[in-house]
Amino acid sequence: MEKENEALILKIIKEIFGEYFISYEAISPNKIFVEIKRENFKFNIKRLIEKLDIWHISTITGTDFEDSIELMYHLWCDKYKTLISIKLKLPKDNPVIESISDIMPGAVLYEREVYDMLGVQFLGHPMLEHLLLPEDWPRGVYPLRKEVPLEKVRKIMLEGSEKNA
Amino acid sequence: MPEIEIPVGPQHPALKEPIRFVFRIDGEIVVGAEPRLGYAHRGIEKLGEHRSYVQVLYLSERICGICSVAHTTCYVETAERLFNIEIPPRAKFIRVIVSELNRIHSHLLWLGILAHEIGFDTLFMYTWRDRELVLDLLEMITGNRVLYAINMIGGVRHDITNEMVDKIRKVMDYLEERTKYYKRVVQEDPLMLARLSEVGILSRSDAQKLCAVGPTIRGSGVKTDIRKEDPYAAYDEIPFNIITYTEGDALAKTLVRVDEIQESINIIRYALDHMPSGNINIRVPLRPSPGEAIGRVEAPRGELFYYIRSDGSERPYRFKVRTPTLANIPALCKMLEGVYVADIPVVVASIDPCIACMDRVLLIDTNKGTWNILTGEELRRYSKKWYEKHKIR
Repeated sequence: MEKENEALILKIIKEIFGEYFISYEAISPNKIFVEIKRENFKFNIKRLIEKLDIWHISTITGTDFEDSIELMYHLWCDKYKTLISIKLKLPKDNPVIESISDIMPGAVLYEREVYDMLGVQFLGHPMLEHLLLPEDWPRGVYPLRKEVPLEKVRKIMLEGSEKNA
Repeated sequence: MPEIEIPVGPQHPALKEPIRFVFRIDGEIVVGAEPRLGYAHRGIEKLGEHRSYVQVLYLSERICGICSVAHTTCYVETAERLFNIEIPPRAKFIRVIVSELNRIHSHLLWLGILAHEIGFDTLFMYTWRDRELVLDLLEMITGNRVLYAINMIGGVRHDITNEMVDKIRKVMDYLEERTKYYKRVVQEDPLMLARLSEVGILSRSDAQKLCAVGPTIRGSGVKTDIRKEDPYAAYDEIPFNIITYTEGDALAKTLVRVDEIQESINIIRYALDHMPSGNINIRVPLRPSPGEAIGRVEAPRGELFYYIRSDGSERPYRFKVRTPTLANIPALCKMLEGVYVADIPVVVASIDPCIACMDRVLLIDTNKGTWNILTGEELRRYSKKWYEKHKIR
């Protein structure tokens, strides 16, 4: 059953993403990773959601690599009981992607979290402001990026609290 | 009449963690709610990238003091996928038993807080007294009352002996009786009905659209539970029901949790009866091979999500946690629309937030330009008085 579902989902995904499809990997039963190109992202994801009746997004994971930022949209497909993680890479000097919070309102805080922690701009997001970081956090410092050492985060926290005292 | 903005939060000294809301109100009705999080943000994801896999286990336990077993279970399940190991069957059953005990304690704690918020302190005392018995069981099994430290990558650290089994059974029999009583109280007590029924309604379509999780979405009639649809530990071998109620109000969410206590009792009994014998843990290497893994666990508050990426070193390259309360915040903001100011505490409590506060309420009247600060206690008193005066239901 799982294998059948997997093959079926793969077929649908390939059909939807077409030339934007890069690779596919099944790590454990009912969890698959799909890597796609970032162009035409919103249009494709909308079609995927409609085709597979997806209504739940678990979260968005952002990971910093040396020259790119990888986004991963973890979508739960209830119909085929599969967690589909859609992966795409953004260039680090210009990390911009279309927001999906209008087609998936549950993603609104997850996009804000990724913006806060990794500096990814989500075009069309209703309120792209700090979610977790303090208001006086220095601009352009994104704590989950690898070039920001732990010591720097500690220093900012310490100086910030002194300033407020 | 112009709308008034009320910031609520962020501090609360006793019961809950900090969160702030800005409520837009029109008279007594809330028309919009905007959350501001991060007051308890500790940078655990970043810290996790600088610690070894074993150290991150203890870090994850400290994310939450109430559902700490859910966090470690989720972490070790994810890490075990990354290390590509299969743990002994007995360890899986012990994980289930401890997770369900944890769920019972969490739901009883929550029921007490809810009762306290609506001024029903007798029920608060009852549930917390019964919760104490569950904490005693957890202490007996793990040696700890709050941070149990029972999970390890490769199994569990403590076995459940035959004497323990007898004690657990006795407490389960007692709790079953109590749960029946609590269900009757929730369904029949006029105070409970007046304050919970038709308050903070979340429709089925909104719950799905806003990606709510756990008892919050099950109270809106959506049949979803990670234990069933994406089983971990030994949940695929244990029969149990997913509890749903269709009304979507605070009462439905309360009934879901009370029924889940009963389900947890049944799961524990079944697990005790069918526990396989054998080892409880295996040795694991220090470093996993490069790769990535996802773990999902049904915590007492809903879907808990972990993602770990390994680059082959002894530390995770990326360690991601998404807790259920964050997933429920958009749904909470929706639920708050249209409720009375006096109902804010009970609606916020209805999602069982791991972060919440009612400590400092700043009431700003834009017409007069005046403002005054209320403490959480004053807001609670205000809500009780308001209900006495208005006798709405």
